[in-house]
Amino acid sequence: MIGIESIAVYLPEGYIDNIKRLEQFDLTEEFLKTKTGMMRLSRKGKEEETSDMCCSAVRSLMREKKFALEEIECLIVCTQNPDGYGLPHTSAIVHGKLGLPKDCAVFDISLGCSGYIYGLSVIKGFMLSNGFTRGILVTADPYSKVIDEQDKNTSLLFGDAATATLLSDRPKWAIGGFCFGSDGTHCLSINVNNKTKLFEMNGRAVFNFTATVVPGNISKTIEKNNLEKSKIDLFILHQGSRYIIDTLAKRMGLAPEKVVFGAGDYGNTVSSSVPIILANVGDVPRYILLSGFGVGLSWGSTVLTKIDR
Amino acid sequence: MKVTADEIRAIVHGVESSADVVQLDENMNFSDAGIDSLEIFSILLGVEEKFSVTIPEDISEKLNSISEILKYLETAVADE
Repeated sequence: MIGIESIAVYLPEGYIDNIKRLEQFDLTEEFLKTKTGMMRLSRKGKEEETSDMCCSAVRSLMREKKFALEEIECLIVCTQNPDGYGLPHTSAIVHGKLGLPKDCAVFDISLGCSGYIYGLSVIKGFMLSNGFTRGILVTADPYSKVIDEQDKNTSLLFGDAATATLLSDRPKWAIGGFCFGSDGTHCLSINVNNKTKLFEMNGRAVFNFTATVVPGNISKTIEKNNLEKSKIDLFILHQGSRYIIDTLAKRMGLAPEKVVFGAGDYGNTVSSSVPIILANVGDVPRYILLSGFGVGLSWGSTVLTKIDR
Repeated sequence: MKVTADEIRAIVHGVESSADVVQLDENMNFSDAGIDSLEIFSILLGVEEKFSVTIPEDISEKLNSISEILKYLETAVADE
């Protein structure tokens, strides 16, 4: 069995205080707290590259789990804001910066907010089909590279972060079945404008998509894992905004204590948003539903089961 | 199908806005009533789901009151 053994998080020291921007965007503190939910947004350093963020997360994982780089057989980076133009792939740059072994397979996957879920499926399958026992899934998608800081719709939401998840044959969490989905007919709802090179998001379209599609995907995933909604101890949903988490919880009839909103201090960190929460759940939850949804449009969910050792 | 202001008002109540919407006048702008932009998304989604319509982007920006929604639905439902 290949599952999740540990997760490390890298949050840059820099941040933007959204409270100080309320006047600029003609918003109230109440709206910030209860609707967007992001009080602070973490920001990488100006000279800090995506690969540097990846390395910081992996080094944190190594310090925590005390493994040697030679043990790592594969490393996947999930990002849509790579170093440079993405050629070479960011995972190759990470390979060089960390000094990973030459027989370690590294590659990038290009996904946003659904990236951790897809990434778990990809790395688990890659490891199982190749007989690997230790691999790392890294998420690092600094939207500060493309955000229009004058855009009220987006500049109050996104933060920079990276995570590194160690998958091994000595897991703490078993990874269950997945349900995925895509809708490319709405691909421009979340995009980087070709002319301005700035990030744009159609807030209403994304809200509608999330509110109408994600609940069904979650229900289907729970059923695929032979569980019932009441058995799930925790729902870790992509931290798009406080309002979308509240809307999903209401539409699915979930008890508020089972649905986490934890991104208020650092923002929507794209593919890092789910693993950052997962890294801090502790030992109590037995069944955790993970769900990621966003750019593509793309969505995916799975259930993790705690392994008793 | 005749849609009433009370049906729209019920959708607005269902959004559980922090604004006081108990006696929301059908001609009052949602924004003037203290209903925020995200709550308006929820209202419009509620209208779409209840009346099986799809409100286009350019129209949605103008639907800022119960009366505007009623006017829109008169045309949209007739066209369905």
